Amino acid sequence: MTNSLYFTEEHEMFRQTVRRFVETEINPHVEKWEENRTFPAHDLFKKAGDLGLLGITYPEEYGGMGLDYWYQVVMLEEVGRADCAGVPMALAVQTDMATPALAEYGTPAQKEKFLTPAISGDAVFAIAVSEPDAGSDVAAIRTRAVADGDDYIINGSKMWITSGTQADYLTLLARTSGEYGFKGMSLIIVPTDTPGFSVSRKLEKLGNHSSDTAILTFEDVRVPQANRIGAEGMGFILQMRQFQKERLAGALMSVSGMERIIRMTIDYTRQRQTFGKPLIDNQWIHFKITELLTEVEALRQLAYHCTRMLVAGMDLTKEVSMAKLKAGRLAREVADTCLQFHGGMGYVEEYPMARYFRDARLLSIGGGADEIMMGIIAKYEDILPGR
Amino acid sequence: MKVVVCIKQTPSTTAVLTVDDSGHVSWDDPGGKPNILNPWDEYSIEEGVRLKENHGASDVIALTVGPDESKNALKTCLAMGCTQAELVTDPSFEGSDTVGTARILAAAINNIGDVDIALFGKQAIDGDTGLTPVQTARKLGWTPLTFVSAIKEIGDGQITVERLVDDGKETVTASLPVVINVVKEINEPRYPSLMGIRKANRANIPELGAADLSIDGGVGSAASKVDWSHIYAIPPREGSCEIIEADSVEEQARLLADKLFEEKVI
Repeated sequence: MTNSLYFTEEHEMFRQTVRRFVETEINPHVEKWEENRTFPAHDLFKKAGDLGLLGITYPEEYGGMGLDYWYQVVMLEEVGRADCAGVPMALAVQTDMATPALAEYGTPAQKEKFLTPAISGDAVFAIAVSEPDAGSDVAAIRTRAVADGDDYIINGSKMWITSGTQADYLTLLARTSGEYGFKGMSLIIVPTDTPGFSVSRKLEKLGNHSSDTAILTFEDVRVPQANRIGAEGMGFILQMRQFQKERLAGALMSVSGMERIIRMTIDYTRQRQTFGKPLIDNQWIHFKITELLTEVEALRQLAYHCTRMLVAGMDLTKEVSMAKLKAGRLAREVADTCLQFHGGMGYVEEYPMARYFRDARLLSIGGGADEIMMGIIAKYEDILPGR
Repeated sequence: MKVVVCIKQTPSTTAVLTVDDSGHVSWDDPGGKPNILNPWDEYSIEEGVRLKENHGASDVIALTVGPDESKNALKTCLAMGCTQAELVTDPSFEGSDTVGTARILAAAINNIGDVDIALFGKQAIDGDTGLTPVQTARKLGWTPLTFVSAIKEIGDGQITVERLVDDGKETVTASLPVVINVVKEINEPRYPSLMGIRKANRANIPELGAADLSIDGGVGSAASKVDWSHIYAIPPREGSCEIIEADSVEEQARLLADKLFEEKVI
């Protein structure tokens, strides 16, 4: 029996499977992967694919499970509990960032060719949208895909690409016409073994060390136009829709990550004795922890509300932007407060606290910065300047 | 070949146990499920599924004696790959000791019929006796093969296994049918896939009661030979810390050595 309003016994059984996957296939290797600045994505994704973790909501004819998004919520919550944020992020790129548009708007042939290996874990996907001069400002991208017969010839550069050094396929956003701004972009699947594609550099980051992040270069990369998802010029719209799942995934994973670190802090402050009593017995400590838990619970409920909207087919752009904004802000507060309560132990690498402090900072930047979320919310509330 | 895997639902390994003054034990696991499939049984389930995959076993039937809630543990077995599951439940079974449980299991195995191998985990993490497999073998009149770390060969009505013994391993051959209890060295249990979980939750798990079985001997608390006269929580271990002060490290080491002799630690 489960007391949850949202999860059945079957969800909870699935939760146990994902939790065990994290405990046996991810956590024991985190130290090494963080040190290596990468993890073996092909090996891990294959194991995840065998368990059915990579195609939970995708159609059964392509190897998916055809289930509603609540199963995906379970998966994201549990991988979000891992001892690092880098590997969960790469998993979410595979399931919620690089493949939703392909699954929703791809042709049967595209899905057979690209989605099937993404679901089975035989292929690693990356989402290639950001560029050196265009991160959250997606409309400013410059990478071009010029039609040449039945092909596109792609030139340009992409930056901050998660799994960029290991990906077999990129879901690439490129300009396919000369129109300015958000018009004239298309989403194109690019196999990374295509001549002209190269990884310029693996980036050294503040956190998320276990995940490889790269700058990618495209020099006359020729791919069939048949690899384009949806109609030409629809790329920006499709990517904006795809972003909603990315932001929801980010919020959901952040909740369980914050919960993990707060629980760890409770344990630590219970054991740590200062002035003859456990640290947590100080009212400032236990009151502050209750505040954090309350905020995390509120964020969880907002994320669940977004999930209900998603499952109902509603537009969740405003609400999910709020969830993503709150997640980024709250993760920073949780990281800072919990590190403070750990004292010196929070500042050394021997303890997981320092890693969380580094990793959590990305949430306010990746997948659309806090300021972009505020812009979206302001637009939906009709309070932008000049209105 | 027909295989039965006898399993038990037990408190979760992370459950917090409480024993009240009357000896009543309760448990909860706020962060997870309070009850799980006995972890030792995961190895026997995995071996059963491998008998299906590698030795052509036609049926791998998970069997348990317990309350209705034990169906959750049986669902885990189905999700891991068992072909069927069966719950044996009856109010008269309550309070059975291991002999009583063995009588019920033996009757249920006979009721299934034509079983070649009955697999067990090494022990259950709640009672921790490890007695049920051999007692079931005795009730069935089958050969017990205990502490099995590998199934080497099955054919011509015989089975050859490797047993983990105190000084190493030994290989033994027995005629089927047999009762086997396995050790964790035998395999690496798979975890249920999402597909397996979906199938398991749609499966019909039949229930059998005392009236459906021909149980040889008494069961339940009245027939139990084991009397749990008193159950109490282990008192928390008390520790203390003493810091040896001295002017030099050498002096500290000498005082420490004296102290360790004094306390008969060395």
